[in-house]
Amino acid sequence: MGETQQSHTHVKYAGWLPGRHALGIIAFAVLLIVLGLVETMRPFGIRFSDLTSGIVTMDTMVRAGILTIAVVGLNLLMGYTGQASLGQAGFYGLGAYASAILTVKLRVLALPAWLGTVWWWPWLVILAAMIFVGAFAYLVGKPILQLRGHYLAMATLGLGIVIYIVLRENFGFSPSEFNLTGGLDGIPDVGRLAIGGFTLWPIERYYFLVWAIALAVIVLSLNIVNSRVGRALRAVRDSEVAANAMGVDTHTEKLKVFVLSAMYASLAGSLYAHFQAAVSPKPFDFLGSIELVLMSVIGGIASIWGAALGVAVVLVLKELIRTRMHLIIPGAGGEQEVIAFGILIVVIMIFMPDGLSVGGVRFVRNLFGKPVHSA
Amino acid sequence: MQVPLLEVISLRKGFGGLMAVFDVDFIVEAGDIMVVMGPNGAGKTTIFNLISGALKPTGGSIHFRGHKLNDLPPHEITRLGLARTFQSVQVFGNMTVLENVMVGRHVKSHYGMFSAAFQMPRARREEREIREHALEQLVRVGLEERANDLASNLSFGQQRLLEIARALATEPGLLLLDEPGSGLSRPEKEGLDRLIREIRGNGVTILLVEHDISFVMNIADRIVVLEYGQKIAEGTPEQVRSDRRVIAAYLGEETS
Repeated sequence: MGETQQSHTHVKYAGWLPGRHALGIIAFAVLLIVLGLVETMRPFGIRFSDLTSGIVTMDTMVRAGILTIAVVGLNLLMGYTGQASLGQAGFYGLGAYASAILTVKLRVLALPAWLGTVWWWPWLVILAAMIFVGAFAYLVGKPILQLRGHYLAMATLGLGIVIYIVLRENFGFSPSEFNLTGGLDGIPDVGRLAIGGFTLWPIERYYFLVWAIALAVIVLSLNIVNSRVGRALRAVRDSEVAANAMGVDTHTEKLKVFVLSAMYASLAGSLYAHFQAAVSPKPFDFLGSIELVLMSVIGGIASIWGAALGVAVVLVLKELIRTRMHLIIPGAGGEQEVIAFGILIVVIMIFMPDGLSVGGVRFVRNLFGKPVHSA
Repeated sequence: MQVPLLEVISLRKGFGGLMAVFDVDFIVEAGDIMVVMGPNGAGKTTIFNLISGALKPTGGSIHFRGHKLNDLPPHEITRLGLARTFQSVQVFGNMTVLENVMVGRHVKSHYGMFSAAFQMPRARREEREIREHALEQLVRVGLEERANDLASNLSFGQQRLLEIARALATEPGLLLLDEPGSGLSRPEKEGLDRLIREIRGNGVTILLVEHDISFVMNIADRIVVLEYGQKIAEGTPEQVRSDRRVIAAYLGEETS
């Protein structure tokens, strides 16, 4: 076999910011800051949304940041452990409602009213919601993660629907007696977040908060993926039997990621509640979960960056269709929009089944004549 | 007398009405190269799966370093110092060669999700050690040149070597090799013979399942022969080669 110097092989080492991702993260952060500043300071009276003919507004960008957090969690779960999850919107909804209920419904819960006046209470609620949702995910995940493939998908689907119904039906209580979730109407008048006396509103300020958090989530997730934990997860995805044989407790690892993913979704939900200043059950139903999965898959299910890309693509596509479709097909309405959206998704999946992050990279490399090793 | 490294006692495994393994007894002494041999369907891979914990015995027991393995899940058994390779190669295809071996290091490392997320010093220190140790195993099997290649891009023979390197990363006391030679060319088998001897020379006991009789006779210290799930012979290569029942079992399949 022979002695070969170890320095011969270039060993990629993960430093403080994950190795080769450091450049990407910094570039992305700079881009986000620039976009935010353009919107805030409006040089020459121009806003970013003007540059994109109103398709990408501040509103879209904030939504993108919030959804990215939820989809990163989904990518960790589906892309890195190969577990299906059709119930992510359920955890998203739990986070949103927790933040809404514990900041607005203090009297209903017999909590001291002054909590609604201090700036730090909503932040505490966000943290507490993440822990509560994580614990809930642990209890539910323990049994259902013993299921495989389609059965697991169905179990998560059922879980998401149950959460949605519980929220919509006010936990079964009559609203006149005990109005916790507000039923179909939801909860209005959710306050804005603030740090000290500094309110994180109007929207430009909230944009910076949301994306700062999203970036932190991306960095932490990249660190996890490039660690022994991430390798164990990918081993579970590639060959669960071999992973077990190599000492990886696959059931526990899958459960850990399930919990982490749920906590990300909860965080995103809380940020959503304070963004919308209201919550209602509609976004957290089955279709909500499907849309999250869609964003995950379009971007590239096994890519942390893919989460941001998938979210951006789906949001932009929807806006494009909504605002421009009537130019191509006169008189087109909501149903035609849905069809058009569906067709576009199918086309993307046919040509880039691994998602845009992988397919996009491959496309660009082929352009420059660099053959790519098949994955 | 030392406690044997591995003791298999009256091992039984039934699938419904079929007895795949019936009352099999044998012992593996530390430092030996032990081979489990037998015609197709003799129960060799079933025995491997029973020892490594992938299957649960219907009867009997398995003891490794004094621990009873019967009810332990595979990842616990690996933690005790028993590692295996697979007949149908199970490399992690979407990871690099080096990453595959680094997964083998899982049982010898500890840092968790939190330390990983925040890149704590302990995580960085352990990560460095994992990488170095994994690279050493690749050098041992001769795959260091392919360290950054995707595991699925390796040839079949190389993937077998990768599995061995990965199993070695767990620092096993006992290494189970499931048909490591099948599908290999003659020169590859010779390389495998050398590698197995070198691994044993480093203090790892080897238990292997193998079809190729001449390969087995060269490398084995002791052999157990199975037929239809039962042990029909046990001993040194010389003893086994001349055993009437062994010859009868193999009659028509191969001649030694």
